[in-house]
Amino acid sequence: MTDHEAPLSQEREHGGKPLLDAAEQHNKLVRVWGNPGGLRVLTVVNHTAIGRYFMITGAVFFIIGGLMAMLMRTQLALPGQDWIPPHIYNQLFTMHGTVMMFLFAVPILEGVALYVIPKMIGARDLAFPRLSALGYYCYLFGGIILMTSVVLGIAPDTGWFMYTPLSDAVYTPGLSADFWLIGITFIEISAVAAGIELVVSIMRTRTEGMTLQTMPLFAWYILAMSLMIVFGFPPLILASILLELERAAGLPFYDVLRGGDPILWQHLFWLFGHPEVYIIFLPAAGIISTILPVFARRPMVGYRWVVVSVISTAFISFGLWVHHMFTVGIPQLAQAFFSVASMMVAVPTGIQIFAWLATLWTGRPVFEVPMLWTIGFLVIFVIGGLTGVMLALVPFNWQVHDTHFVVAHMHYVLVGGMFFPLVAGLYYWWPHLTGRMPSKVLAHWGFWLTFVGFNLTFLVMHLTGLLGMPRRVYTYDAGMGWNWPNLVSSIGGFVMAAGIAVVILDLVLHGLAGRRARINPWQADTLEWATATPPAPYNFVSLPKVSGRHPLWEQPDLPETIAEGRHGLTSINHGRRETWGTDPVSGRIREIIHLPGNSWWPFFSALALAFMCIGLLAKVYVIALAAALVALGLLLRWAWENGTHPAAAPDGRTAAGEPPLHSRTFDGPGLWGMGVTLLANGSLYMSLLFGWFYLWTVAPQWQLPEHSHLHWPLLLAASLLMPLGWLWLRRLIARLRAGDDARLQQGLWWLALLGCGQCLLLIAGWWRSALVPGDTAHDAVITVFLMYTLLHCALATVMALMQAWRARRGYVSRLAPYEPLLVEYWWGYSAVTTMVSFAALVLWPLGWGGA
Amino acid sequence: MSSPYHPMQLVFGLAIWAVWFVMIYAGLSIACEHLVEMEGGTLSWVNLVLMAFTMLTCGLLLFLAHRTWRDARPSWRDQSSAGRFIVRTAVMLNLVAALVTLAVGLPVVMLPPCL
Amino acid sequence: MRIAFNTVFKFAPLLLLAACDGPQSTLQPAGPAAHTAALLWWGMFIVATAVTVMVTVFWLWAMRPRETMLPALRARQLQKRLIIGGGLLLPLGASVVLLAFGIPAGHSMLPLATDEPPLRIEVTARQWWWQVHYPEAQVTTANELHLPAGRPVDVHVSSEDVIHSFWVPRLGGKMDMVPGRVNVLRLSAAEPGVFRAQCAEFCGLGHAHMHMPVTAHTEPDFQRWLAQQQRAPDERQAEPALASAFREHCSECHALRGVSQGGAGPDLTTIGARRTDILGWLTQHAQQPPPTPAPDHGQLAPGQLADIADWLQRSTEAPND
Repeated sequence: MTDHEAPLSQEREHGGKPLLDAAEQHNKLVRVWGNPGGLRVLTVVNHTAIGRYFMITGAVFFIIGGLMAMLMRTQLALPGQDWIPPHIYNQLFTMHGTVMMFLFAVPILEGVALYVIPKMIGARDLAFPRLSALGYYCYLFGGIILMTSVVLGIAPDTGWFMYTPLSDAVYTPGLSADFWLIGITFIEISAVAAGIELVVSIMRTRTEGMTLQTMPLFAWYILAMSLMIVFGFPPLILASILLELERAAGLPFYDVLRGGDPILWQHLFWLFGHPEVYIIFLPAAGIISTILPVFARRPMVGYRWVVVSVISTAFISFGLWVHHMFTVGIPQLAQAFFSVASMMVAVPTGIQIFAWLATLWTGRPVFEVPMLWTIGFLVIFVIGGLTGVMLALVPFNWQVHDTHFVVAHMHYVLVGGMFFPLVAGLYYWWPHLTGRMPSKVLAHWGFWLTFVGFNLTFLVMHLTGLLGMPRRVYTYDAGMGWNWPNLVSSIGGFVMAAGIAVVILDLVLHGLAGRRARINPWQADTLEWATATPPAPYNFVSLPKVSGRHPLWEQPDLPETIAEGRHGLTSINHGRRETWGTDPVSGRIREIIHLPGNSWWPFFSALALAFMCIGLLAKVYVIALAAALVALGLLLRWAWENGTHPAAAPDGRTAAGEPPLHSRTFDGPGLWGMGVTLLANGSLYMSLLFGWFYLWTVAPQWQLPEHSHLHWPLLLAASLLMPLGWLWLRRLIARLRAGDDARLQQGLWWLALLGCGQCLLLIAGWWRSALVPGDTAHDAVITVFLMYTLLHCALATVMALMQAWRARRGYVSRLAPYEPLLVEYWWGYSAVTTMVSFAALVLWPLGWGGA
Repeated sequence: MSSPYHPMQLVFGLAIWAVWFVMIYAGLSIACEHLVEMEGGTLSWVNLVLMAFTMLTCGLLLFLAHRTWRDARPSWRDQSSAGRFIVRTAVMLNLVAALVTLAVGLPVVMLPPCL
Repeated sequence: MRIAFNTVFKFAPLLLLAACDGPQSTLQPAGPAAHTAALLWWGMFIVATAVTVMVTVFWLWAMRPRETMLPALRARQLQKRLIIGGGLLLPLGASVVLLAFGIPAGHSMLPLATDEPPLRIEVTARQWWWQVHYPEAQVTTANELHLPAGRPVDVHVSSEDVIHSFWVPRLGGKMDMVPGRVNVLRLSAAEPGVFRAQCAEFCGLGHAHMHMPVTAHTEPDFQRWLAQQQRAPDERQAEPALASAFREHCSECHALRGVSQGGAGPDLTTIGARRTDILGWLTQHAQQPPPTPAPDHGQLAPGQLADIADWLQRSTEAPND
């Protein structure tokens, strides 16, 4: 693409930067950024590849979940059928929901986000490439573990929300529930990792000049989704850990007789479960907000309104969870809070819908295949949203809760609000992913079959529920008035399945053999269309400076000028993968972020974690412990290869006029990553605190143990020592900032020693407390608190040790002062939670009524 | 972080709403479980406390919206468009939080606490 | 042709309404609570349909192909109207109306204090059957609920094992049956009739079959039924050998008035009135749905099973009155 006859005046117009030889530049970049083949494909960390893996794997799970649905609909077509006996049917509906929610919906949208976001914000990769690879392998291995249970016929069978006591060891003995608890928790690591990654990437790796106000709306949606994942997944992670402890080790949390409460599970589950559906909806709405302006040929109306709506939805959705529990017996006033909040959340959604409408109305729409799916989304999602508002009304909810009305509602919002936008987005980005255009005729067939089939299946299902048919029944009696609606739904299901098959066929066929796409075939405005299609692993030869919201509309020649190397960060001779590190608000360049290349660590770490899960499942705890230690070792060794380590960026020199490498400054993506991780950690801790106070105040048979007494002096000492360590570390860092690293190494060794002492104090305090965790929920929860605190102090000690050793090797010094700041965040967090735990476990009972 | 142009201003309002929400739900549940006769069918002191807390929080959020706008005015012209965007959006979000606080708290004046 | 058309038009609404009927239909209410819920539904349905049609029509209209955009000023006006009118005012307004109807409606369904205390019935769920107890009359039965029509009844529900949910759709909303807690559901049947209750919280293998008939009687009929339940048939005493065989093999789980206290299984005092082939069920239930956590009764009391079953059938049928 280089024009060797370009006149000199053109050169000077672009700031006089020398033109690069495109082919040579591409080769140099590929040497640094390339994805290897063969077995080494397992080392790939590049976001384009990982995004694709998520999308393909998600699609496979979608098909599996869909087949399960077809089996159920076949059985329910007629009354009284039992060729699928109840014990199989119960596995089918449980796994259909589990697969669709955990193995399809969230991962595939993550895949889209991982693929699109860096390109849209003008970056070369995500902030933590190895983390996204780890996330993928955790998802893949977790999914395989879960599918193994299906193949063996012992899949989870108590519903995808696993209510206790049905899912506890008494009523579901055997391994099925453990597959869910352990497998899903493993998969959630993947989701939280992606969440952390996307937050940091969106905040710190946008290209120069892309301010918070000019970044694409899709980035706002994904930012909100990611923060919701960070806060919303940990309650379920905690709930699952507690249930697994109850099942495998007899620690009561949900068992009434020993002071637990099955409703605690419901609270923790739905604290996750409600935000989960908005985590699924927001990225899909983001896809619509991206596509619509392109096909309306005008910018999105109401950018600020949409940002306000997205942030409002993200927060308010955390205040709705009890609307899944309106029949549990909670007093009316409390229910009213959630009823009102559930209606309030419709307002930001309504604003988005009318903003889209306004964009279409005041634009010049052009009708392409993605718009067909967008209309489908609108009709189906609006119906789903309206039945949602109906369900928010408590007296009506009391009739239709746990009936097929809810099944109809949730499929309308999930299929309408997620699947249709997803397909619209796939058709839209298909030219980008594959370099080929999608079809027209086959695409129309696929759409109409799916749309008609879907409505045939689920519209009449509202009536089925109103006629009194409950959920999760493997068969039903004739004479209830349910025969014809079920038959219609089942026929509709087959039509819809045909439609989806056509869509998949269409995408695959045209992805392999469709018409070749030209650059920016839809005349879109966002930066991802400035890459090659399909994209090179490095995305952009040079990183542009943007000044408005619509880079490709404002500068239509950007694809060419980027490829010609006329913009920033073109140097590659140092062999490092680099992208800009920019200010989160103004987009001003702050540092150069150097990124890791291909690596085996993610794959093997995920494998070790998978073996740990298998060991836990099989109850061979020796294997689980060994695998956990191996995983820890691998993760620490991975962390070792950072910063100034020879495998990372030992040579910190940057070109003249370029900012420093992030590892030579006091800020960088890792610090932000640690911060966001601690938000997730904090959410888990707050869920634990909630569990403690909840059981203490409202568990039906809360009881204090006969003999155990928390050894508060030792625990007090532990909770005072931790803050001391934190302050000590802060002092070391203050000296580093002043340029003094003379006694850094020594200080870090002392810190590690203090950490060891801290751990020993905790262990001693635990020992002396003589807890009997199997007897009462009281002691069980205290045990979990102690495990949590000990884990954090141990990790803090390990981190201090690592830093001391790295200081000794010269990897950490006043020239590379970055890493101790991450450790300081962890120490601070651990100090605060240790003190809060002391207050909650020792001080609170004194006030409330006897420890 | 107290500067009206700081991006954290975007989340303060709704974060305050979230804390208020947790406190009224938890407070109501604990009051009903331990402090109040379950048979009462009329409004009681619990309603008063909750309503006062709601009005206080709503007022705080309105005040924050006002203060953000007021503090931003002197340096308005010197700010980048991103800074101005943050202020406008933060003010809107504080108003949203105030509205949602009032709406969710409204049942407190209508319903007895523990039925 | 025109006659056929007119006929269809006249009967279609009736057909539609008929499609809404069923023994468990919330759209065929038989009590005030269910009636309120059904009214709320129809109101919301009409509004929701109107909103859906309006938004779809607007969207399709906005999608029509055209070559020019609206002038900037007009566009801004329209945008503001759409976002504020449709996005802000429409959902807020609808919410206000919904809650204005819904909160009082919900309040009316609560077990509020009344001048005369309502009849108290205690229903306890186990996998997968219902124990129904009338504390005032000291009557215990299983898998059937009887109540007087025309006055409120407070059903106190709980569970002995997992979470179930008590639901009689034609009379009112559902209430979860949670172990460790007792929830109260107020029901009232406007007229005598027979309805159906079904468990509405997934509770394991037998969930789909966990239902029972609910019969509303006139007040005198209800009192008569209660009295029948209270009588222990004399015939039982006339066959002491079979009574003691029952005690030996069955009394660990089953109560039978005048014979045994029972345990985890249903009270069999009136079993003959609701099951016509006790022996058949005992010998076949382990091989067929619905599942039950009970042991395979076919293996119990070898040699005596048929006699015990026959005695049970005869001695627990409702006596003629």
